[in-house]
Amino acid sequence: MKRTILALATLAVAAAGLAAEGTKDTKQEPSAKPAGIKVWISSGAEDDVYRKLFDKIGKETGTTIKDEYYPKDELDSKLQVAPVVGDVPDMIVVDYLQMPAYYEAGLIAPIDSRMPAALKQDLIPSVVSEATYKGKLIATAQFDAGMGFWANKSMLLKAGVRIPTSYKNAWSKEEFEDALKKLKASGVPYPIYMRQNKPSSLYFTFMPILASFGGDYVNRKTMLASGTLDSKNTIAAYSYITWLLKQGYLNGTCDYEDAFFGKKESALALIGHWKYTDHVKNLGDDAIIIPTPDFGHGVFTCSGSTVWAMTTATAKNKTADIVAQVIAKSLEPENIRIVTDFNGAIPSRKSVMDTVPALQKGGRLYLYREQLEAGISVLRPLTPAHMTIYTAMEAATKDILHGGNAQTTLQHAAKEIDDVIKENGWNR
Amino acid sequence: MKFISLQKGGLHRNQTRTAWAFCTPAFISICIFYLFPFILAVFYSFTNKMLVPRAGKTTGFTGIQNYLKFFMNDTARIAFRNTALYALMVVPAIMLFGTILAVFVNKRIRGVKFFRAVYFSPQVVTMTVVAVVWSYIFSPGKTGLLNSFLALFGIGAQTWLQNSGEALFCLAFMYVWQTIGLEMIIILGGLQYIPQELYEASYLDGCTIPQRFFYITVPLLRNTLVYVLISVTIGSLKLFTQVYVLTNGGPDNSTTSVVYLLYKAGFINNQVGYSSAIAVIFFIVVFIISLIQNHAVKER
Repeated sequence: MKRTILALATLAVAAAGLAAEGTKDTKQEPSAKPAGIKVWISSGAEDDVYRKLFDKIGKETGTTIKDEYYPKDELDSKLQVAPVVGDVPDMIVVDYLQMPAYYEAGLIAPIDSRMPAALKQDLIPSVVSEATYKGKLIATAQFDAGMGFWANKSMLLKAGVRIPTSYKNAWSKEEFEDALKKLKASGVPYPIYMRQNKPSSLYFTFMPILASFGGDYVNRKTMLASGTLDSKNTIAAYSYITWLLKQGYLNGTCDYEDAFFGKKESALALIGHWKYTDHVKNLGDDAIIIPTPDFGHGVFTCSGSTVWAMTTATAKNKTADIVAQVIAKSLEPENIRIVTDFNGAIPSRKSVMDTVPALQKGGRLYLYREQLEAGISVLRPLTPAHMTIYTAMEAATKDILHGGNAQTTLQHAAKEIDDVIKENGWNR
Repeated sequence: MKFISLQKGGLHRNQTRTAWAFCTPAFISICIFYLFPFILAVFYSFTNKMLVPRAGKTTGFTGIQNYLKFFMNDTARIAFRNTALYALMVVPAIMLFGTILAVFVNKRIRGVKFFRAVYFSPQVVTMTVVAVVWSYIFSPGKTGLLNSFLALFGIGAQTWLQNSGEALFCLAFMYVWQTIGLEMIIILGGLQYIPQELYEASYLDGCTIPQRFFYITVPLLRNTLVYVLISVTIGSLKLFTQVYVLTNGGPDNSTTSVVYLLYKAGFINNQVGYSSAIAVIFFIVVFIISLIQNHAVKER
C-alpha cells in the first residue's frame, strides 16, 4: 500500500514538473505583438458604455485592452496594495478626488508632455483644474459635472416665483427664502430636497451654497481645516440647513431618492446632471435647471468627474505610448459623445460642447455650460487627505441634518481632520 | 502490551508524531492567518506605519506614542463605552431568550422543526443584508415600517438610527434577532444531552417546572452556556458590520465601536500604526474579559 502511494506521489510530482516546464516554454516564446494594457475602472452606471468604448478604441489602435471593473471602495483597496503585490494596472479610470493619494504614493505618471497644447487649450478650465496636482497634469477627463438646482417649473409658476435663467440673475438669499415660503404656502410639502437621504453626497452638492456663504472645507493654502471649516461663514452655511429643517422647508426624515421626481413633494432639488434621465423621464418639460442662489459671496457651481490616468507601471511594462494613445482616443469628440450622451454630463472639450443641442443657448442644460465657462466652479480639495475629510464631513452633515448643532459639529470635525492631516504630513 | 511502552507524557513516539502530523495543517494556518498578523500588529503599533505611504517615506519607530494617543482620545473612550453598552444589551438578551427558545423547541410536538427552522433562518443571511433590510424597518418617516406599526398603538414616529439615544439599541436589537437562532441551536444540542431519566425522577419527586429548570436543566447545561456566553460576548464586542453599513458611527459618535474606530484609523485615515495599537488594546481587553468569564463560571 505504502509503495503504491509512493509511486503515485512520484508520478504526481513528475507530472507537475512537466506541466511547469511546458508553461515555461510557452512563456519564453517570443511574441511579436505588444502585450496590451490593463485598465482598472471604478464601477458605475457607465460600465457597459465603457466596455463598448474600450472595444472600439482597442480595435482602432490595434491594442488589447483588458478592462476590469471594481466597486469604488474595492478598487481603492486594490490600488493601495497593488505596488506591494506587484499587480499595478497600466491605466485607471477613477474619481478625480482619489488622484492626489495615488500620486503621492508614486502610482501615477504625469502626462504633461503627452498632451498636445491645442487639445489642452480645448479642455474646459474646470477639467484642467481637477486634473492638475502640484502643478502637473496627472489625468484627463471626458466630461465634467453640471450642478445647480433642478426645479419643477409648474410648481414655481403656481407659487408665483420668478424663474432665474442664468447665473447672472440668480435669486438672492431673500428672494430664495421668499420662494420657499411661497412654495410651502402653495401646497408643496417640503419645497427643497437636497438628497438628505444620502448625506455623503452633500460633500459635493452643497459646495455651491457653502462657497456662496464664503465658507470652505479647508484652507486651500495650508490645506488644514481649522479656521476654515469651523469659520463663521462655514458655520452659517451649515446652520442654514438647520434653519431649513426648522421652517419645514426640508424633510429631515426623508430616506428615499424620489422626493423631487417621483413623490413630487419638493419643487427644488440640489443635485447634479446625473439625475437628468430620472428627472426628464418623470417630469418632462417641467424639469428645468436653475442656478443656486447668491447667499452673499456670489453665485457658484461645483465640478469634478471621473478621470483617466496613466500609472507609473507603464514605464516598467513599456506601455506608456499605448496608454497615451488610448487616452488621446478617449478625448476624440465621437468617443466623448458616446459617454456624455449616455450620462448627460458636460463634455470636457469646448469644441464638443458646440455639438450638443441641449448645451446651446436656450437648451435645457445650457446653464451648466454657462457656469463652467464663466469659471464660477469650485472644486473639492485636492489632497491625499480626501477620504479623511470626506468621511468627517459625511458624519458632520448627517449629524446636522438630524438636529446637531452646526458650530460644535464643525469644530469637532475640523479638529479631527487636522489631527490626521498633521500626523500624516498631508499638509506638506 | 502497548500501555507498557508508553513514554513520559503518556504517548507513544509514533502516536506523538501522528498527533503532530494531524495538528500541523491547522497550526500552520493559525500561524499564517492569526499569529503572524498579530505579532506584526504589535510591531506596527510602535511605529508610524501608513497604509499607503508617500513615495520614498519610510516607517519610523514612535515608541508608545500610538498608545498615548489612544488613551487621550475622546472618541476612543466613547467607542469603548458604546461597545461595552452594546455587549451589555446583547449578551444577556441572547443568553436569556436563546435558552427560553431552546427549551420551547426541545418539546416533542408536531411542527416544532418548522419553528426551529424559522428561528434559525436569520443566521443564514449575512449581516450586510440583515442591516439593509432593517434599515427599511427603522425608516424614520411616518411611513416607515416600524413607525407605521407603532402608529396603530398611538405611538409617535421615532427617528431610530438617526437618534443618538436609540441608534445603538437598534443595532443591538438587530444583532439579537440575527444571532439568537444559532445560539438556540447550540443550547438545544446541550439540552438533548441531558438524560431523560433525570426529568422522570423529578416528576416522581413532585418537582415543579421552575424547579426542574433551575435544578436539572441549568446545571447540566452549564458547559454549553459557558461556551455561548464567551462566544456571544466576543462576537458582540466585535461590532462592526451594522455600524459600517447603517450609521458610520453616528449620530454624534453614538454607535462608534472599537472595531469601527480601528477600521477608520487604518483604512480611512491611513494610520496603520495607530490602528494596530487599537487592535492590541482591544485584544487585551477581550482576553481579560474572557478570562474573567471563564473564572467566574468555572465549576468549583
